[in-house]
Amino acid sequence: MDKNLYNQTMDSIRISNEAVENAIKNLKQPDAVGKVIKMKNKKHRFIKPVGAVAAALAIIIGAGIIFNINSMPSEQGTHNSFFITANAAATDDEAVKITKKFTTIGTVTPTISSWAATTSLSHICVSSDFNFNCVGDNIETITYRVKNGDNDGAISLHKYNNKIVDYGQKKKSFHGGSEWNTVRGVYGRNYYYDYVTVNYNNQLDTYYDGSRLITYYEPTSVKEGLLMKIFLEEVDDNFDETPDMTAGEVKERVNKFYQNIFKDTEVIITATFTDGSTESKTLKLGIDNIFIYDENGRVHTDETLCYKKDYDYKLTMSAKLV
Amino acid sequence: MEKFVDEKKIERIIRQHADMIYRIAFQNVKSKADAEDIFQDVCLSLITGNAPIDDALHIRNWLIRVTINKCNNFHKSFWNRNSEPLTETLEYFPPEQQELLSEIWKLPKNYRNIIYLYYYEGYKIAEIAELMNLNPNTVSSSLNRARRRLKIILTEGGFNYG
Repeated sequence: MDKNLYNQTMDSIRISNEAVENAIKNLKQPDAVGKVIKMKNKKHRFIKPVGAVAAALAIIIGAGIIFNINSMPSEQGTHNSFFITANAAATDDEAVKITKKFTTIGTVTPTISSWAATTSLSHICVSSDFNFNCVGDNIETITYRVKNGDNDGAISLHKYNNKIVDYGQKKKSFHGGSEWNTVRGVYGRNYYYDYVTVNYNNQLDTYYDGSRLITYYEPTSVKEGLLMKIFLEEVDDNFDETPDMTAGEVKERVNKFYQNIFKDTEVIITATFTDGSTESKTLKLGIDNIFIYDENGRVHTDETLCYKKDYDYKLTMSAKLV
Repeated sequence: MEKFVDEKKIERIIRQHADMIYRIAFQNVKSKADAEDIFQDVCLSLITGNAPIDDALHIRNWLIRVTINKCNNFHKSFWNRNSEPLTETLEYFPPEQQELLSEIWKLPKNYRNIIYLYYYEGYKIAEIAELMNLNPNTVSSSLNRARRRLKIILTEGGFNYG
């Protein structure tokens, strides 16, 4: 039987040999990460360093390829101390240092899981990118934990992650109990941990490790739970019959919803040094900005009328030390 | 920390999966040139990221995941640019394929990826859910919605809806 039109069309989408050879050739050049510049259609594009790796990769041409990945320099004159960085996707993927003032840490698209026993919510989990790293001297391991007031959040990582050296309770889903399933292919694409510990030289990356920060929130009243449920139905869930709103109205409701959830969220980061001593630092999260956009990436102005099936939103989040 | 990477292995992986990476990127960013850029970024990730290059079973899934993430990141960085998107012409495709691609590009990008992974790469719903970090029910409903929207085109040639 002839292949159907869809498969024929996909067969027709092929990359040129020239593009493949150029990519392979560029990877063999010294300083490929920082210096590859592509010219296309009168626009410039740069390969940016990924994650918290600085642009200090060196590639030596030879029988094999050896990479020296240098961490960012630690603060001068400090011993057994560290600072925290985060990818700032909104500022071209360069790591930014977290201080005691709110600093933009990146643009995230949170995903929500919620549970409703009756008409209101009993609790809600929000999952966002986890893109923190630590920089310092004499650090052996880093431990991450998330709390929301008295409730524990989680760090979730892809099932195939091999960076963890220690962890808290491991679950296949946040509310799935303490069992975890080793059979591949079963729903449970990420595992959820009360805390994770990684080696300093092998820290997490949200893209490659699928690392996510899970915030757990319980409404403080039935009314609050009901309002949150209405939010999910009218703004967040993908129901075509949802009433239409202006982008400004959507932003206001999204902002209120997430400010409420994140106001007590803390990320507790503990460094264990080579001499056995430890130091902990705590981050608070906040929201800078909200973007309402369509599938082509075009941002809606506040006055634009949004049809629910056609828009989505992202948050620019920030963090500070407490 | 030093990291040793086998040059020949990387090159073999790139050649083996180049078309797949490019197809995913092309459907997401709707531009040949941008798709080639994303392809190059994904290739770079093979040496800077934590790619399971010694695991033939997982490297394919890893590449799919990274490519989709790069495409999502492309849309984010697009906002920070003052440039306007260039209109992609599809003249190098036959007319019926041009029409199909135009219809596919009207779908939300998650739908496009799900259709591609399901119908062309042969992944099951649970596998797609794992790859794209989605709920399997979401994948299933997205597939159904996409089928409705592309119903006539996809039924040509006898698609298996199971």
